[in-house]
Amino acid sequence: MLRRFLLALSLISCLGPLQGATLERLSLDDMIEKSTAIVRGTISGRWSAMSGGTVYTNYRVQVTERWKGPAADTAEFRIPGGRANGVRQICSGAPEPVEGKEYVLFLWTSRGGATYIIGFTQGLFELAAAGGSERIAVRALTSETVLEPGTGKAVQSERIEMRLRDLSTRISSNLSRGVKQ
Amino acid sequence: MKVRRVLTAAMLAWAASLSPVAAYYHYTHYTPQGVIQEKFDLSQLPNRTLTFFVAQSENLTYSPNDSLPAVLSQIRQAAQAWNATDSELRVAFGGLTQQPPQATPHGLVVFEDIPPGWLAYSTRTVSEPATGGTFVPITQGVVHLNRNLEQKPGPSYLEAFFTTVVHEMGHALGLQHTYTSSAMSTAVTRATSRLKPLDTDDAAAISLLYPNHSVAGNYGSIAGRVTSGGQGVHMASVVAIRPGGSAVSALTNPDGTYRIEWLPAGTYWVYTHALPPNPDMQLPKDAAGLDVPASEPFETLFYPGTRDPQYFSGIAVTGGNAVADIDFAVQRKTSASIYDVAVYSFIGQTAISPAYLDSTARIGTLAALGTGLIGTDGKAVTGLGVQALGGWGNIYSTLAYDNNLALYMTFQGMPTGPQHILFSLPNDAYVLPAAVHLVNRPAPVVTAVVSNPDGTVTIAGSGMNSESKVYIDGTPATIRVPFSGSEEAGTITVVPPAGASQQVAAVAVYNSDGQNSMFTQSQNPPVAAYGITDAPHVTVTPNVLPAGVTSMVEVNGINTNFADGQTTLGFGSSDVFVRRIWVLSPTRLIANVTVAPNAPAGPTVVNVITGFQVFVQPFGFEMQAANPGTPSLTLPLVNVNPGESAIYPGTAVSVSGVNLAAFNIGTTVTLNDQPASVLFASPGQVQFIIPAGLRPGPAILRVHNGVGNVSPVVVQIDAVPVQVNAVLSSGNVSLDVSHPAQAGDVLNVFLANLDAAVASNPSRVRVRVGAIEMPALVIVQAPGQTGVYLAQIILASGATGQVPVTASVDGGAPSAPFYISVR
Repeated sequence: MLRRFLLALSLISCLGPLQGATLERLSLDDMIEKSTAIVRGTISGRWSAMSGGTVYTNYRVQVTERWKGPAADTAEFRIPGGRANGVRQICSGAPEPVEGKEYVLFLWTSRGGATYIIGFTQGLFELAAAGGSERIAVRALTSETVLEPGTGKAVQSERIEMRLRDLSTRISSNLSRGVKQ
Repeated sequence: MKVRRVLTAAMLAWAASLSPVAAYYHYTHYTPQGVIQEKFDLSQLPNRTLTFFVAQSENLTYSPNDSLPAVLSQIRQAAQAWNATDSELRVAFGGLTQQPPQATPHGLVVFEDIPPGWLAYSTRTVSEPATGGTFVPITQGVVHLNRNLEQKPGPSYLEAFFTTVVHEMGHALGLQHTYTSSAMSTAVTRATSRLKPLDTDDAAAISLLYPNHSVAGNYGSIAGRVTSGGQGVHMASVVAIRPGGSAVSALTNPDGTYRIEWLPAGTYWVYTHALPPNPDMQLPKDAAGLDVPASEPFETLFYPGTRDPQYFSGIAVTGGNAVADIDFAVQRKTSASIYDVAVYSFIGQTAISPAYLDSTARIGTLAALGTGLIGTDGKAVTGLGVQALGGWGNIYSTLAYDNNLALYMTFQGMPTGPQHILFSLPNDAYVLPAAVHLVNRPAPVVTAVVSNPDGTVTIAGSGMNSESKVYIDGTPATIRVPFSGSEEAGTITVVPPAGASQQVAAVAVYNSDGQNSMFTQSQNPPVAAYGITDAPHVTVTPNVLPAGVTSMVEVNGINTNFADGQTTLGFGSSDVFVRRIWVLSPTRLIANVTVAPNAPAGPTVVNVITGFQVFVQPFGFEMQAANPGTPSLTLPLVNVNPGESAIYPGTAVSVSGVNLAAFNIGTTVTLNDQPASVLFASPGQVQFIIPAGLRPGPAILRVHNGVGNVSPVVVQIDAVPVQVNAVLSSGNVSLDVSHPAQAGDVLNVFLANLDAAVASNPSRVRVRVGAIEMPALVIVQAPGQTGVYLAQIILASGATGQVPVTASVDGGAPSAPFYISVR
């Protein structure tokens, strides 16, 4: 009986769906695969606009490095919430990138052409100095619930902190192995 | 940053001067005037009802056997779930909308392309906090779901889809996450289900935000302060929990004060815990709109300052009473030790959360996952203790395995229902409310679904019983032939909800203990297939109304199956409010609708939904600009006797409106074409007598103002209400100032106009003393009084002085009050 139960425990990660959720946990490899663009850049502008009844805050990124997606000097994405047309809409827990700060962004563009950060807060890595020319990429804990993909298993959001060059190598390596682009 | 610190410090200093105020898990603002929350303005909602509409539902991607009608049925049920509370706010489902401009605050459920990693989210539109305002008005709450329903939480027939919509609607109504395993808890700890979509904490939260003061006396409160080193702790979570019951929570104010309100009567343990480091919450805002952070983490403590269950002190709460000074002095910590724990049980190798355990089994096995349970060495953290809160369950042993903590527990002989688990460390603790549900039978499994020639469906399976319910695509089916057979093999025959042509629907069986067949059959559920049917079509008369007018509309259908409780009429706009529907036949219904006075002119979509039958007619209804000369009634009718609310034959009623009487010309009134005697008529009000011959049920009220017809409305005629003739002591002494009753007394309530069939079933009779409902223990014929019954109640505590006693049948209109003295 004990052996069967331990086997069940180890299989939690491939079991059926459970209760509802807000977010689904994405591993770094998931994000590399599922994003439609991966860029490094600095937030150079932001503005809010209403689309389909929802107010979005749009961000423009001055791109300095691009691992995935169409070549361009800038990229744009949007996050729910903001003020437009005299309306203030709030999306609790949404990330708030800061103008002038540098990030690595895992972006996803819908069939309708709107671009978002993948995984709500999960695809947003802030870059910070780490001594000399070294930069580190930090992803904070998400403020929303995260579930394991395919299982619904509750898991902790992970704080990720890694050297930018290691992140870059990981992305490039995955993409060169034929991960969908 | 410096400015922010100064502002925050000033706010904390201000808050320290406040008396305790309720700070539930709402979207909160600390203003110079006090603590205010974001919420809908009930005065702007017709009948205090917020209607949710579905928008952008085109081009959805479905799993096999999923469909838009099935999705709509879940959204409808999720909206209705929020009505199972004593809150003043009502929530309705308005069907599909094409999003015309809507002046009336409303809710939306929209489908959109959602990026990988997002499952659902909500947004709300708010006004700026008005200076001196008592709340921040929400004007629109939106639930955003993925257009691709192949992705979680879809498909729509899964319980997870339903509970997710309930949860996101809660956000749209103004509720944040809690940590009580309620609907508003995060998915990690949520323990609600299709059968119990809301828990007591959700009901308390919505009641606190939208209070119904007439029933407040049924509830009590617990208040106190959480301090550390003498300083108030901000945003400490304080939870009142009943062993084997539910939990209700509140957050502390900046000065550490708290008050847990809308607590049902009972005895509670009270504990305080720090929010986890990623609390899934929007922090309160200060007057400058900046976040006011929570205080540092601290140890979890039970009242009166212990983590040892044998020293917990139960706090007795009664209706209408406030318990104060339940204070905590806590030690701060650098971080919370344990948090975000989920507990699973297993059927074979399928994990179930929340967990279900057989209380008759010698040992049950659970798995716990969460932060702080497993050490870096892969073993349970040093000093970890696990026990069922209340001492009802024993932990035989624990075993750490693959980052899970296996728990071997016994609950033998313990009552079924939810059990809480206490994880304890030498210097901290963590409580997971409703971590495991004790059951005494296995989960149901559907083995066969047979469609019968008469349209019914027979479900065969194991684990079913006489309380089992059948759900077709997540919608309850009506039982035609009750359960027969055994636990090993039984059948139930049901009438499925009206279906769409050739719909293939997932079938699930739910038992009253919460277990359901989807535990093991969600990946490939059994299905029922509907036949080919002609498309429904309806006509709505009138299909044009001016703004500001209330009118009856008649809906006639072809190929429809209108049914009470299953049919929704919507006009695609919150500016056209459907007040009530009366289904007269499968192809005919009547309804009262009100067009908002400020509604923008233009066409809207008509939709009529019954079960899974959806009829949509774009531009099927038109709102016209308001015309000040148009006569119109304003609902509801009121009994002119201020002590009575029932509208019944022979009683005098009043209806208000505009242009109801022309100068020097008589106003006439009919109900179902029977003339009513008019007592008084003015342009703004008409009083008349309900004709004596009317039968209970809907009646069409027509008023002619002497010049023309006023738009007719439907009036629900009540049966002659029960009457309270007298309320005496058990010794039949009058309860006056000289002989007041007191809590615990048995009272004799003498009732007239009570049907004999009702008298034989005391549960149908509700007696209220003040605001507190008290069950009738027994109802018998009153000695020597023909046609009068005697109901006995035990007077609960809560009301004192001259207190009204009323009675009602089946939740209908209450009787006129009879006053007694209560000490």
